[in-house]
Amino acid sequence: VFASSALIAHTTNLDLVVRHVLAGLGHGIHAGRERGAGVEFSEYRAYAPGDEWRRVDWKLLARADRYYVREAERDSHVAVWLVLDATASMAEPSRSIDGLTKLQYARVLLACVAAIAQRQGDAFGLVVCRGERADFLPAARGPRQLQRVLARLNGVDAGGVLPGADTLRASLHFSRAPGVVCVASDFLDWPSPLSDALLRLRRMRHDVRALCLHTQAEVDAAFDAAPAYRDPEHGGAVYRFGRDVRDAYVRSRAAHFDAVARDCRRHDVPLVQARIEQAPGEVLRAWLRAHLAGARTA
Amino acid sequence: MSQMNAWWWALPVVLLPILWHRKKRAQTKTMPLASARFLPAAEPKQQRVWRWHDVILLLLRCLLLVTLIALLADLVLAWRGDTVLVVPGTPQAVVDKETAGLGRAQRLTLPDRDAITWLHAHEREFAPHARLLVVGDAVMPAVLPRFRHAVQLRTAPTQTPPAERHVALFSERPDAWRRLFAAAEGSWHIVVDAGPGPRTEVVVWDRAEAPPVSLRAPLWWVANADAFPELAQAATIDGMRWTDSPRGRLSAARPRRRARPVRRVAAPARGRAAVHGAGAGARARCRRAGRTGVRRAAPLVEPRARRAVCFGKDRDPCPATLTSRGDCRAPPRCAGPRCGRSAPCRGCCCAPAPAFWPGPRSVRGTACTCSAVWRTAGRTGSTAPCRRWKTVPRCWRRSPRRPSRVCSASAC
Repeated sequence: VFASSALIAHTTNLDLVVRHVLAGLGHGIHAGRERGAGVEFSEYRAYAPGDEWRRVDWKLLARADRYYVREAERDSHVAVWLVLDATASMAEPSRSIDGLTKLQYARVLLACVAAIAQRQGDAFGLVVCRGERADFLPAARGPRQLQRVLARLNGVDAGGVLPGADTLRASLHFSRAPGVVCVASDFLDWPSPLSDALLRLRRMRHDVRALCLHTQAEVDAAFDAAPAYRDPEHGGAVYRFGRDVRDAYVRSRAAHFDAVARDCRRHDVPLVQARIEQAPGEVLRAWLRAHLAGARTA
Repeated sequence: MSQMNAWWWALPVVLLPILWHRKKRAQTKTMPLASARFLPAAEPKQQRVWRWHDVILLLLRCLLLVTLIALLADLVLAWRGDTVLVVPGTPQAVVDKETAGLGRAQRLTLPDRDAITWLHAHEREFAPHARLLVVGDAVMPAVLPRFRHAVQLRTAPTQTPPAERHVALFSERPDAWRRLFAAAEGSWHIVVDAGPGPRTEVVVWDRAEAPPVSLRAPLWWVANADAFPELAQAATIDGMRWTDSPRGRLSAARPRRRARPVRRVAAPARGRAAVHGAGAGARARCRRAGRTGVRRAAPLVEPRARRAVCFGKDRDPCPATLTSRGDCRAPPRCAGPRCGRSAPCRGCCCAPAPAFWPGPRSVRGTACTCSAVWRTAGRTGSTAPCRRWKTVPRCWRRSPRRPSRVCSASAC
């Protein structure tokens, strides 16, 4: 049973949501080369909440009266990079579920991916694009990294626009090592510096997986005609929605995302388009398996 | 409403600043929509919203406009109707009598006697069709005033005490001067002082010697100009010389050239006998009237002839002219202003002096210098002038042509 989107809207505890979302999911999205803990001893480290009890070195506990966990050399060198688009347009709320925004939905899904990576023993980092900046959290392993990522995700609020191409290029220095890049965005700006960076990463043989978020109202083109609207990122102009402009809206939007999907397909980037009113587990499963089924729309 | 000033119709102008106070602004209530870029751009709606800041500025603008309109529209609304304006000091009986026709009229007591000025200042308080009646002894202007209303003026002159004038008399003949001053009793009350005082206005110097240097007064009447060398080069106006000196303003009569025989002036060129013949006729009429003691009856009271003209002694001198006791041999003349005949009439001796002549109104009938004083029994103002200057007074009542006229003379 997948957790519903209303859970995301009503819960601020990201860890709890992640546990519920991942309750029906298996481990991993790709096969790690790790043979198991303790195959080749690397180091001891202090116990952190989330570590499995079986990995605690009991003899060392008896000696030092402290919990230590044995760390082993891992064979997996796959790092998971979580790229979150936290621009102002990601604050678009769901017109049917109160309190649910695209940012919250993307945050939950990225947290789930981070938890999965942590369970697999993969290193994972976080890049938050917000306010013309790209906040970079280096990739690391372990539950502490997960806690850091969750805390960073919890503190993110939508605002500003995407960073420039130079900023993104400086932030994507991890591109040397192969990794998995999970991008959650609305892709309303396409082409954009972010899209260029993703395509470049893809050309560098990174596993780029894009999640494009919509709302049900956007898909159905059902907005209230009474108020005037403005673009949260490109302010100034005033827009009006009505029956007369609905068809034009639908056509423009479809053309835009068709172009996005075409670009992604051309560069072999699996793109999952989801509505935030969908169950996050379902969307997460589709996202993680998108490379198997190819780019598809939700 | 029909009488409302047309400027009041401009009051809706006050709405303009109120409407302008609604600030024209773009529609600011917009909601963010991430996919708004797929919508065609629309013109922002202009809407007027009430703003309640700068209320004092709004009120000030409205107040300025209202004040301007009120200034143009003459803010005072007419609230007075028919009104009786009573001059202070008017007896109540007079007011009741004059306002008999205006029963419901409001009575308003004026602050002073200047009713015309008050009316000019407050005329806008009266309704356009209000009737105004001014009762009392109001001050009359020299020019006929113009009002927007029908103003009726009914004066009731009040007796005012005569003004007191102090005269310092230095003369060898004080009694004559006193009689002169007594004749001037009327609007003036002349007080003859033996010496100058602080209230002395005129010094009458009727002496040959020069007055002391310390004697000063605003006005001087000099009977003997020899004592005042300043009067030698004085200007002459209307038969009087005057000049300013350290003592005060000196006035004196113009020097008489040479005394002309009065008979030449008064009598026609018929010779002395004819003149005295006329006097004989007068004496005859005096005898018929029973005044046997008067041989030369009429004194000369014409202002230009200030001399005694009667013969002999008069037991009943005229108090106005003091000329009855002289011994000039001029024929007596009538004292009437328009008479001038040599033949005296009985009333001349007692006629008032020309200086106190009442004027044309009296000429019409109330104060004829003839012995008969004509009055009418009818309304005032319709009296007929006395036409009996030349003849013996006769009562109009006896005239068959004017039976309605009534003579009040004692001789009738």
